[in-house]
Amino acid sequence: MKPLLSIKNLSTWFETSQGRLRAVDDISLDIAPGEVFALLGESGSGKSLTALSLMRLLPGTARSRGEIWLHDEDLLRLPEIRMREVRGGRVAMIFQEPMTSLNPVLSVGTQIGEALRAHRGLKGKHAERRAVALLDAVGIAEPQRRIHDYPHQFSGGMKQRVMIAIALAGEPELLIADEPTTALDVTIQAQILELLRTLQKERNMAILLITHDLGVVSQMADRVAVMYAGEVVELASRAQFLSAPRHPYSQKLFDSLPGRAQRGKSLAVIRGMVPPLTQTFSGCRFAPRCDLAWQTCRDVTPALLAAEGGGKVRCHLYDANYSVMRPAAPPARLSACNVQAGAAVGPAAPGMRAGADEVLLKVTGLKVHFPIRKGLFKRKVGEVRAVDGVSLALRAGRTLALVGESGSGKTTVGKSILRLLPITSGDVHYGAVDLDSLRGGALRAQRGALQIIFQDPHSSMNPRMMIADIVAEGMIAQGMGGDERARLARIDRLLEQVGLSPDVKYRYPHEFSGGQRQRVCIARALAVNPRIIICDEPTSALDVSVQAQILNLLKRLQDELGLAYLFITHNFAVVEYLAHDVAVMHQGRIVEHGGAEQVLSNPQHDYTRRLLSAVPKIAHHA
Amino acid sequence: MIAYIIRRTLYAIPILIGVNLLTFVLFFVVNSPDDIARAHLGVKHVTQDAIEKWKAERGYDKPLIINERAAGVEKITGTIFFEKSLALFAFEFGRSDDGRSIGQEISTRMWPSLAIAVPTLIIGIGVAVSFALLLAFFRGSYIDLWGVVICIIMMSVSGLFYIIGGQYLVGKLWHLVPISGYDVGVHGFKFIVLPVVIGVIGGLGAGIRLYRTFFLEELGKDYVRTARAKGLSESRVLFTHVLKNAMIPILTGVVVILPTLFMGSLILESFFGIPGLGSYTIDAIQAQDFAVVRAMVFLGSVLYILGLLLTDISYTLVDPRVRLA
Repeated sequence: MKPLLSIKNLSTWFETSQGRLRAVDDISLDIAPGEVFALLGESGSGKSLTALSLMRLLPGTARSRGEIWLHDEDLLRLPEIRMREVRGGRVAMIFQEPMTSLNPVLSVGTQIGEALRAHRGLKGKHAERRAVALLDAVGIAEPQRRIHDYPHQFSGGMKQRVMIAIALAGEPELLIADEPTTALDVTIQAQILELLRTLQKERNMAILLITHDLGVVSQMADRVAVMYAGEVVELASRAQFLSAPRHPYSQKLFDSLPGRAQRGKSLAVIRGMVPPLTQTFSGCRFAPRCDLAWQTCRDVTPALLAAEGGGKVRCHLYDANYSVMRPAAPPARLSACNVQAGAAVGPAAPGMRAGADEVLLKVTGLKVHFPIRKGLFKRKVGEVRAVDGVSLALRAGRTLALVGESGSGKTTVGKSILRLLPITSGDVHYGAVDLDSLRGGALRAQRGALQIIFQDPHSSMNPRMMIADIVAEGMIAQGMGGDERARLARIDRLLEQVGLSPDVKYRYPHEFSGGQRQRVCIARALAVNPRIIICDEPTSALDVSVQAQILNLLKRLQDELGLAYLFITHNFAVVEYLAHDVAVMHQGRIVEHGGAEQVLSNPQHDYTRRLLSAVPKIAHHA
Repeated sequence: MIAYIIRRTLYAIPILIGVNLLTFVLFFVVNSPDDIARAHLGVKHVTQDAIEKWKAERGYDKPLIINERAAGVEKITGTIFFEKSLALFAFEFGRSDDGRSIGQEISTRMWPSLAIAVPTLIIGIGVAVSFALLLAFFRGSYIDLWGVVICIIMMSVSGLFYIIGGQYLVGKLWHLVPISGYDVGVHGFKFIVLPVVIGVIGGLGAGIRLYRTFFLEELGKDYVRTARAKGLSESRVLFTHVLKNAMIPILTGVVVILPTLFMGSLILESFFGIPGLGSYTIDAIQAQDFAVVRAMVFLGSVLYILGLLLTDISYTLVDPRVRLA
């Protein structure tokens, strides 16, 4: 069949002060009419820029070269005025952030109407009728009334539905969906993916699905292309890809997924980092991180060759001309070797390792209510019961996962335990200390025992402070770590312990990648000898392979230091991998609580079952 | 909404009391009525009698806060604080040192001030927004670069230079309009043109640069990418999507100064001989007429508070996300 869209030798680059940055480097793909084609890759792989290149929506400093054939028109050579007919008309696009992707000051009807007017020539009553039909088609209740609403009156999932309605307005042959569910909760994600599936079938529309999530690929895709460092490294059908991924990078992606099967083991990690794309490569781009690489991989650039059983792969292992040259016994490497086991930090505080079964933190009937004030004198007319009677116990050396969707109150629980939010009622005991009764100096002194790691390592460090100052700040506040010299020595040990070189301490946060920043945040938390760390979605802003590194690190630190984790997350795979106990939160209450194995394999509460069934299952070879 | 406005008005009361107390301390305690009288009568050869007479004529002979000699309510009401300071709350401004009613003066002099200030503001915003949109449309190009350079040059030149240069060129050399003066009705037009044009030019550099950054900030947002992905033209993206969002900060910046407009411009009015409130204030400062200055300070505060309230209300009109409660 003739492809709908055919990308030939597409390159997209930026001129930077370090030289030309080749974000997309000579990729070729075909998308057939009506198929779901997934472009899989981690951040920086070039997958989003590929999509923006198709739409010619690149930022002003980027340039593209190559051919993009939509039927028999080369999009890169269309004049801008003709390209506008393609954009939103024959090819439509939806984005990752439904919260910010809609114009806040225009009603959704107006925003759909714009696309109808541009591509269908509909105006006034006709446009409105069509817009109502579109809202109905994407599953928005009472479309007649909602059409006059503004984006802020819709929830995140609803906004993404509105985005889809806008995209459908031009009746596109191809819908580009750039991480359409990444910002959404797991149950909402399941609904949106289901909707895309249905619409795709009804309208026989092709979807180019850009994602980093193997679960989404497994649920949606007909075919998959894996991108790494600006190149396509593997092209396969879904069945082929899930049952036997060929490229070593694809295999690693699967292996670094946390899950029940990996419990107790270290997750596989990909050593090193994605290479900077400003360099000129010789040999395979993945070779420095590949466990199977040999000399040829570093010398000869592999081509994307057809593989046995369909699909293509860019790896010398599958090229008979080269694979024969491979040394018989490849230098075996421990995949986890990049996480150096650092020296334990200082002598453990007396009694710190005592009693593995000791209950460190006991929360009873915790309530955190926020007042709603209204009227002339701001009288309290009601309250938001963010946390409404939560009880839990955390033991030394164990991990309690607090699972729930956004708005369930799980982060509020974490913050109120730390006294970062005022407690309305209830009891929080750390050992024998009633945390809620502490004031002033006593509270500050207690802060060393409980620490927190936040979700976004990009914004949780002061960008104007050096790493050494960030790590030292807590020690100074707690009056520990001795003099300047002793403190510096301790910072070195802490950085080594989290797998960073001590040399980094005089650098600033922006010089690090997301995973490295999260390591610094962990070092900062460890600096004051905590016994409990509240981990608030510590890996959800990170790529899968980086997530594996951070999870391994947290696990090792727990074994070495006997830390207790209150692990706040919405990611069930992480729960399955890491948690000893699970508490499921819904609307401010814990609806189910128990051992991880028991809750996950035999959920009792309806809500838990619903959550679990919404998690995309990866039908992998294991 | 109504409850919000009432609450905000109540909030304004303590602020105004503070302003009132502060001006009272500045004008009557730091600088006693005796000092004011001496300043007016001359330091030398002034008898105590002359001072007492001057004070008695203007009501400054009473005690400051408590009148011991009077009886009943008079103890409080027969004081300078009550008569001069608290009276401001009722917009009773009293009489200036030359004996004229300040309230009367304000109500006649506000019209010339408005005649200059309103056109200056409206034309100024219109021109600045248009140029800023132009620069945003050509962002990153030489037009944008040189536009910004010219803006900075215009900001760097003193306002006095525009006034004197304008008067010299347009008034003296080309004889297009009178150098200064004022008239009512149609004849007033020739007097107003030059100060308005100069007022607009003086504020243009800063205005264009500010609005340009508003536009550029909006252009970087996700919804602009969505609008482009719909296939809209760049001008439609700019005019419907970007302009509508950027109008929120622009409008609120303007609304806050709206009520203070009729206070007039101090410098512009003095240089062009416009009999507005701006020149009134300048003249009062030069003549050491504290009664007038005090009235204008209080009036200015009231209007500024009103401006802040209007700003918050205008948010609800331009931004559907804002609901006041």
